[in-house]
Amino acid sequence: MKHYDKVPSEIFDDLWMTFIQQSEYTDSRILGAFLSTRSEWEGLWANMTLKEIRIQDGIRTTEWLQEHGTCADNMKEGVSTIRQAGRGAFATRKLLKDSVVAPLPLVHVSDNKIFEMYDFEDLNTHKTQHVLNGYQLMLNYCFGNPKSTLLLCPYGPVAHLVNHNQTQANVKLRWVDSAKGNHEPGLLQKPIEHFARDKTAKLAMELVATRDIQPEEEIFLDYGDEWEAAWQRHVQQWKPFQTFAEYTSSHQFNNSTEKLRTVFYQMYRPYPNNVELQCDLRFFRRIDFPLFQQEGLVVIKDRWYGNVWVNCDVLRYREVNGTLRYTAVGYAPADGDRPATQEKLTDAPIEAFRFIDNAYTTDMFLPNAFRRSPMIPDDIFPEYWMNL
Amino acid sequence: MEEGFPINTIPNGLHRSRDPGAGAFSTYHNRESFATVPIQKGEELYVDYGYVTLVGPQCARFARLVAAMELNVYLILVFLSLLQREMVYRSAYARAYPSVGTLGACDKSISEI
Repeated sequence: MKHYDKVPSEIFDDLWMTFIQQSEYTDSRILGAFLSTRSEWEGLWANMTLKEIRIQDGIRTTEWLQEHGTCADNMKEGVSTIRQAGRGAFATRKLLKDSVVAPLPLVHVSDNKIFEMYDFEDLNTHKTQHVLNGYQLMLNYCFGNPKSTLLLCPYGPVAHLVNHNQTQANVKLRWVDSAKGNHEPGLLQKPIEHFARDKTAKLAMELVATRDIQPEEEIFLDYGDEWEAAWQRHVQQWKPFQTFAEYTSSHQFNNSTEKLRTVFYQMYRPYPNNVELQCDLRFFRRIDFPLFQQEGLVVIKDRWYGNVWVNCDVLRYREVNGTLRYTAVGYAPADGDRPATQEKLTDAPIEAFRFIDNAYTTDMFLPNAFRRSPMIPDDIFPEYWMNL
Repeated sequence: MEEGFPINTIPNGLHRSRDPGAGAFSTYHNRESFATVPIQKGEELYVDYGYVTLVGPQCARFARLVAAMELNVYLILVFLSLLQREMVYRSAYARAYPSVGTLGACDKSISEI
């Protein structure tokens, strides 16, 4: 009998939780998603560090993965066939009816109010106001139920791209078998208050095919009648702001064939306030420079070098070997003891430049953007969680 | 494994002046991760979350928690020694492999707290 066998399991769990919770990952739910197991405890007693245990524990045989794992590459991302939906998820291979399409490990949010946003100060009167002015975008990516404040946010790959379609839905939600995923069925019988305290993510759902799905077919889930009604209401009530007609995003500028505007030209035609032109001060160090000089080809030679994007003004441009080259001044901000500097980038191609959106200017910050969480169907939503 | 930067694009040419779907989804996508070392089949993937040190208040909270636990002295001592050893290993790791993510070390010794 080994000495750790003497440790009662409650005390072992207590110690283990203390050990995890008192690391600097105190608030890391991802780390908390690791289940405490005897093997980890055993490792500690066997003179191993937590890191060594993690590495040892992280290597599993393919047989183990076949028994306990779930295939995570059944779906890939693409542009959705539903125009207003943006991007979507598509089948990478034929998926049979009742097979698992994707795992959805979940992070719980016990109170959906956390995604509410408020105006705290009226800029004209400087009076403090507590007016609800919308919801964070994250709400759209978390499953909920109108009868509960609990939200469950998937953190697996691609699954958050699955769009809503009631008539063409080809997958449904279900709770994961606890032998296959990080899911503790016991939590389905815990009240919401438990989730407010529990910092570990131990719930998981999965998407299951409701019929055979062909390769390249878009994956659709029914987000529920409430979601459908909310979307229809939004479309009916939605009115475009006239002032938005002129709006041009960084994405549009980055894909534009227009020449970059020099500081002089910008006196006549400035860039809008919502974008910033940046240049990469380390651009020439990252590319194959001799090749660029000879052929004008931009080949990233050392992408580990890291790019240093700073705000930039284009001074002039000229044509070299049939391509446009820009000379610009980059404004490197002060960093610690180092004062702010200006650096010149000479004869750089368009690849050394990019437009970025200024903070809070992109579509996701629009006051009239749609916000609604997809619904977990009533038949699988535990009664214990219904607190509304 | 190292994580890259996501691409920021608006698909389908959605524009805020005419599309009710504008702003209803994130425009960031395709954040790719790259293998920094050869990875064996079946091996778990890790990234470096960065290095943070456990500082004063957290140490004190830890001390209170340990005190609150009604364990026998033997267990507490064993646990603390394990923790202390873990910290020594971690700081050694941090020195040897500054780019490798490790759990933080306490800025106070056990006797201080």
